[in-house]
Amino acid sequence: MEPHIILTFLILGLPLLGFVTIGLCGKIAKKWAQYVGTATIGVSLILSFILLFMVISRNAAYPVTSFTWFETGKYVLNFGFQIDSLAVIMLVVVSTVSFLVHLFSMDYMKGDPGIARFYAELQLFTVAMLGVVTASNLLQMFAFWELVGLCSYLLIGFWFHKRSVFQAAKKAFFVTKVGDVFLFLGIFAIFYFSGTLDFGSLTSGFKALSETILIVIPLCIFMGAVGKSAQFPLHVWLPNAMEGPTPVSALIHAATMVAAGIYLVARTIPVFIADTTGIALTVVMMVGAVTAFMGATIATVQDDIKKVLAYSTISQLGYMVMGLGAVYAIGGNHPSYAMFGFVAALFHLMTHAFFKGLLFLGSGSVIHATHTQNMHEMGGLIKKMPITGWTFVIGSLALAGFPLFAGFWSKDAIIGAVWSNFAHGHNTWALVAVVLALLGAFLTPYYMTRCVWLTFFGKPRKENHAHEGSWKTTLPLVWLAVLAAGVGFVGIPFWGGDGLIPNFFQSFLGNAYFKATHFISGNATLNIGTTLTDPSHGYETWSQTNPTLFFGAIIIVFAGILTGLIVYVWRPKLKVRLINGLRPIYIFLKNKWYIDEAWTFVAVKPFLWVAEFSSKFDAKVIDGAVNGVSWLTVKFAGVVHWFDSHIVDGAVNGVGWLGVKLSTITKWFDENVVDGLVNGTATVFGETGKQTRKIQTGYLPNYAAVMFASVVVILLIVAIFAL
Amino acid sequence: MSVLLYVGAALFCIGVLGALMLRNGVRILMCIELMLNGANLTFLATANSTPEPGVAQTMVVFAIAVAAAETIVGLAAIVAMYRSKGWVTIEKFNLLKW
Repeated sequence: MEPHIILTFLILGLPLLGFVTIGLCGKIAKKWAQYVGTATIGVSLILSFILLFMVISRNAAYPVTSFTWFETGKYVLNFGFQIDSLAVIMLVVVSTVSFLVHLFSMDYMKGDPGIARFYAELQLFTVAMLGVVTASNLLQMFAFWELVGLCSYLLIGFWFHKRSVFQAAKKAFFVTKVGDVFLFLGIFAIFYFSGTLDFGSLTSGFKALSETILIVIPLCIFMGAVGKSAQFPLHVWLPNAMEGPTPVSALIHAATMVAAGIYLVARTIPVFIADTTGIALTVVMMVGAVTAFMGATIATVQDDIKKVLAYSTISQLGYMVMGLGAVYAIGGNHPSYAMFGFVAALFHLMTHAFFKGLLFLGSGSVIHATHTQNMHEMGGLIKKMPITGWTFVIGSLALAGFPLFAGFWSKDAIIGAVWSNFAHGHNTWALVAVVLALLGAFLTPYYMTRCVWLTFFGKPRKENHAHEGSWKTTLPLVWLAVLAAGVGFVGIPFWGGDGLIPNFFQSFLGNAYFKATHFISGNATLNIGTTLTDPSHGYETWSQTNPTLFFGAIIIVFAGILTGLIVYVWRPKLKVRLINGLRPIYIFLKNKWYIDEAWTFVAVKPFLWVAEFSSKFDAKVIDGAVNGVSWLTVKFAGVVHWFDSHIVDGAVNGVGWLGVKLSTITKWFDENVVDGLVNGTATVFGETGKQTRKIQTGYLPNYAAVMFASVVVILLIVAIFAL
Repeated sequence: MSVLLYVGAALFCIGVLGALMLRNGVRILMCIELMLNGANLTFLATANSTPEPGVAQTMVVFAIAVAAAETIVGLAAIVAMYRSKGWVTIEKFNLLKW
């Protein structure tokens, strides 16, 4: 085996080994669970980095190595690993955040009776997530995808004794499942038309398909991403998922699992591009834009620190989806800037994983110290918890898109990609998306300023004995803060001809994009291979095409921060006036756009109606029928009774008189001969019954055992006679 | 193929042992599911050596569908038991006793 395959096996295998070990021995050696878990994922992290550098130095993707998984007739399904730039970037992101979360949880979950279970589930989640990003075909990815969903369910419901917790877990599971059903339909469709699910040849059978089918297939795939990545209107599960332990929110519901949807769309981007009308990609872009705007607006009025971050996550995921939608497709033309959206979305995925992971871990540190999640009960924490405080500020600046921080480069890259979709692609919807994105870009610094100020600054509003945690808490925070501040520099746009600093990320990821798109260039209707520029040369960047927008975005960020400071710091009275003046909007936002209510109305209520109707039907119609039949029986019995008492009885009495006479004769015989026989028989049966009824123990396993034993005996008899 | 047969047999045996020895109703259901899957696996493993592999495979899909229905009925019974009694311990559930 080649070294990269061995590495991949190790990266996936170590956490799997950890899961098995902790899962089996966790109850005995509770103390060791956390160390085993952190160690395995730590080694995986190092190996991921080695794999990353191997791919970088190779400067190309490894050929897919696969084994036959199973064959059905003429179709063969493979189990393989696809190690290219896209996969290794995801590997490094996932293992980094996972490692830091493992480390952080040592303190956070200290003393919890279920800590071994917690670590086992974290390990399983990590395996599944690493499996999603390395899978080489859709079905394999789907299997890991569902495993990730299961782990999410288990970890949200970790403290399942609380009612709201297990309801949140159920909600997350069901809502994402809605998307998964569509995704599965999409996978079926691709398998039906192309006869394969390998990522390298997804669109091989798409030549002869009609336009409608080519629009429907990518939309089905996208629905999977809508569910998993919490896009409008299936985002409702993510805020509830905050009931889980905070490290879980950081790992699963901020950094990795919710990004799996983005990864799915990125991986299957050829399917989206194959839709030459561009409708599918436009839908993707608009769903992303609406989600980005909606999430940002709702985040402005949340009081729970984790809910603010949850809606912020929804909003940021919307940006990524919007970026993917901006992969230019109308008319099947793919000019050089077609991949901006693709690269920008994954760039934002990476930076977001780091700074949102940081923010969630920071909030976890705060919650652990203050035992509350309500921001109005915090305040002034920066003096008591300086490391948490300042790293949180760095994370917020990165999220807000403050210049030079990671989020600045990635978010502006997305807005720029959408803009070029409008300016060069003449897609008018893209203009709407840009406007929504810019509004979101204004609201993001606003709500983060609010969040940071309420939590860490001002006067303490409630007594608490907050203090900084041990190094296990602060090390992940500092580590992620460094990444949140600095990771953006791997992908800053070019300035001038060849650029001041090369956009490493873009040229690196470009390989994956070209590989993904190149194989459909054989398709006569798509001229992709010919119109894309060579990745080794510089790209035209959006900041060159529209510097106004670039600097406009900076101004918008500052405007957002200033507004936040004015409303919450300098003019507190303004806040009350704002709430009173904009009361309808405020209530609308407080109720989260009424989307939960809408779902209740659209999905939950009808379901309950159907259930109620079935119950009524059962009670009225079926029971009625049963009662009717019994009534008829009673009446019939009455008729029979009359007939019996008047006619039959007369005959019987006559016969009876005869009988009495006869019986005196037989009586003697009866008493002496027959009774002796009958009593003897009765005694035999009675005694037998007394003994045998003890078999009916009522103990179910006994019956089962008897059944099983009988089956074995019968089989043995059959076997003996057959031989 | 022999590996598949061993795994199928192992699954079935684990299921039987579990179904006979465990007390929790839900676990017993899970064990029955294991038994079914063991049998299904055996079906599939031997499918290719029969003249019509499709028959065995169809049978398995059919068995999976039936198993799903069976699980639903079983779970419904257990939920009903839980609602009326407050526990799901099969051992204590001996209404049929003489």
